Amino acid sequence: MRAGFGVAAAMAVTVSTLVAVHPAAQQQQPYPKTSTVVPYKPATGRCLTAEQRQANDAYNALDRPTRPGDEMMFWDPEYFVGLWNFDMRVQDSPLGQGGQSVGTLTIKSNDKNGCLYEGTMKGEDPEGKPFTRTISATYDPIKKTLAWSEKDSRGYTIARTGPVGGELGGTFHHHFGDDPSPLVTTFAGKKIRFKGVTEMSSPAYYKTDMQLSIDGAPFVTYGRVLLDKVFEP
Amino acid sequence: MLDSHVAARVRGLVLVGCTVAIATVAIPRTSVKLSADGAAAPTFNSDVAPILFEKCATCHRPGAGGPMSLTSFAEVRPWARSIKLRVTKHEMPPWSADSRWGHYRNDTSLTPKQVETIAAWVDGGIKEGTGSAPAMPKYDDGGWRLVNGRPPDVIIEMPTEYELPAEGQVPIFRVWDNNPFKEDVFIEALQIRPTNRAVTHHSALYGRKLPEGTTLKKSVAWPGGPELAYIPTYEDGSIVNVLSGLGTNLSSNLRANGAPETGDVAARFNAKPGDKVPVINKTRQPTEEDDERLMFYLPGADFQQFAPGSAKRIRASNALMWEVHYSPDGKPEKDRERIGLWLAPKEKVQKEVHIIRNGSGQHIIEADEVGSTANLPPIPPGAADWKITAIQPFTQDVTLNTMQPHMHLRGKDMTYIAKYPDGHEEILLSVPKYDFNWQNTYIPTQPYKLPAGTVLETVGHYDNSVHNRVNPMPNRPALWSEQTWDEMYNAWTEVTYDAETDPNLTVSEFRKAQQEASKNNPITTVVGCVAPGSSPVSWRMTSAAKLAALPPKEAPARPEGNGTEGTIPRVSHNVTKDEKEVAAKQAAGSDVFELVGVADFVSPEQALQFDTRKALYPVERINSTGALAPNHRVAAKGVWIPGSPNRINLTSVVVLDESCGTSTAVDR
Repeated sequence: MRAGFGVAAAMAVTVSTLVAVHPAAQQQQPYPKTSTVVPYKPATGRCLTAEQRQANDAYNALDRPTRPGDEMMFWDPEYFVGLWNFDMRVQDSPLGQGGQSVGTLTIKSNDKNGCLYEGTMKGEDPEGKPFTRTISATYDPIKKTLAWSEKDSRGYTIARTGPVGGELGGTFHHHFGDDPSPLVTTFAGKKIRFKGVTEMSSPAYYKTDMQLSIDGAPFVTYGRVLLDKVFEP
Repeated sequence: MLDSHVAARVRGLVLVGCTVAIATVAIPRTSVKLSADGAAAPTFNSDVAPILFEKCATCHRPGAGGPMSLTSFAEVRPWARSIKLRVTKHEMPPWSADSRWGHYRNDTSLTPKQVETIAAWVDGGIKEGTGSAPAMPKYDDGGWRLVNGRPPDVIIEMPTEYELPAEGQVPIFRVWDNNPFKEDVFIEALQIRPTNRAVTHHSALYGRKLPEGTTLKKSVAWPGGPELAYIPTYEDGSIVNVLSGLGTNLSSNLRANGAPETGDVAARFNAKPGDKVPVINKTRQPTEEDDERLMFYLPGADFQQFAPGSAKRIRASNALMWEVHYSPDGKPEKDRERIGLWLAPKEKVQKEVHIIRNGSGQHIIEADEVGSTANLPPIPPGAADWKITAIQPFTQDVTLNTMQPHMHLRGKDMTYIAKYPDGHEEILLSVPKYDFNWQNTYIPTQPYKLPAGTVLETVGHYDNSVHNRVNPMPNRPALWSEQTWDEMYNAWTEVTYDAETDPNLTVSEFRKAQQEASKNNPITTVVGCVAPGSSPVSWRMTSAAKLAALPPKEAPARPEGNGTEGTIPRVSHNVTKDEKEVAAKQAAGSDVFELVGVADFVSPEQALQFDTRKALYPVERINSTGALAPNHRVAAKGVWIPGSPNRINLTSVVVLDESCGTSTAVDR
């Protein structure tokens, strides 16, 4: 396995139960004893610089609450690698009938470019018809900008480019489509602009809220895509 | 009533034409009967609009925070299928209380019939129907509610707008303001409205005495932070801004090697040379009488109205203090908090509403007693069902008006259980799927009467594992602080004291009345041998006696004028180390006591004999210590209930000896 190992493997989850210990021994244990524990190690890819990875290691080793002025950890695009279930809920629009679409999203890192990620979305639309999307995503670790593109088999492309940032606790946001250069796709004779935000709440879950503007009209809520990580048994 | 200087700003913000609070809207409901072939499918105008207008449009209307407006067929039509999906999964409207227990007057959930109607409408073709939809309730453009048909009497905004950085950590900070009121006022309802909800983790407005020696001026809000107006500042330029958000006051926040986190303020801010360092308690901590928390805004909870005759008070002698907590979201943002106040006529107020954080003085964690909030250990990395119980005795009759569970991202569930003086238990509120983004305040249809001698406990669970969809760091211990990514365990309650007859008491009068009302039910520790009673709800303690008085300890020196004179000494609710030492040496007594409230102190299997526990949890989720076992000699603490025999409703049980046969300390 190469250095930038797959997230699915890195996230492999096992379950163990801590056993009760003698009261005297408990005093030397930082934690009590009864809850089920699920080990987890965060994913690390090849895109971040060595210094950035070092900063992340330092953050993960922090043994006190964070403070104002602490160095931000760096978001690692390896976050996306793996298999996800998606649940998309949108309103009626020129892109199609509103309702729920469900399916899977698979993301892999590119062997030659550590900051390039590719993948496929396969699902069924609200009427039960299958569709696919081809995903391409590039991250610039210096500018901290993510360019994410989804080419839909129904004839349109949704591009989401913008900064990735977050707070010291590890929740990151990808904002896309804000001025000055809103992204435009043309479909069914309509010019459609998207903007919104992807909130990466946890290693197991993220969501994207999207607004759209049709032919220059004000932006309105388009819908939300929820993605749940599929962990290997 | 209003100070003329501030009133101009205050009055300038009062919105005209505020609209109808959802609770005041009466909308007729239509019964729908579908034929087998669906010919009589519900329509929007007749069947669906009344439901949406009553239960959804309070948020889903322009300016009210919902991501889309649902106030007409044209607006609802594109969302119809999504609406069906969300309501049939009970994701919307957001309401987290388990309907098996408690009835709440602010319950926003849909009835099964309403869900069925919406689903049938979508399945039947999303028809608008003939005629017109019922009139929309009148909502104010600015989003302020109506209380008894009127908008807020006063709207006050934070005196400064705050600009958030795109990334990093913003500590909880405080911005003060002059009090616009020249005399004490009572508040019957409040609403806090951030201008930017997305980045507001919480905000609160307090009435609090301006620290002596300070004036409000433009100063840094914290070391290294921005300069803001209205910061209490001493003549030498140092700032007072009693700080939080850094884990300073919540727990031991153990380091991996067991050493406590440093208490050094400058270090906590990574302060650099030359930074003005906040002065904490230069004069004194705010005391109860000059610290009125008026309202706490949390995601999902922006409005509060008290029971008739009850109100919050703003003393004219206090300044106003905003406490704000923001979470950066990746791009620069701005916010300015606003609060609407509905004033209550003084003559109609019988009782002041008091906020209690349930169980600050005693917790059981993972089946071990740990004592006060300051002793909470971190939640281990990966812990998937970490158990915590907070225990709060009441030494006088109280009326419980509201409950509001507050945890952060790892919170799974919280349940409020009343353990009454006779030993029986009642589930007052169960939130089985806690959601940080929808932190409701639960207002019982009938406030709960908790007689003196009741113990109110709250049981919660946390998931710090990767299986928690909103846990950002499952590989790290969850520490305790106000930051969203750390954790809190606050089971808030709002109570009124039944003995209170005059809400206008001075502080010393109020304290005296409190002591008088509590005199028959003091917190008491007893020592003796225990055995199960005749029913599962009680145990019997024999060869028992009250704990002997502790040897006097030299009181720590206090600076003069620290404001603690005449305060009621804080009584711990757990058996302390000192008490245990004395108890271990105490001779066997001859008294007999009945112990109730035992479910937290027997074995988990025995706790399941309580219907409450059995209904809530499988045995592995029970958080009972097992200290109560037959023939154990124990020190037991709790609220005293006089009778024959005298009874203790337990808050703490510590094992002194696992066999009573050798228990007489004087023999050893």
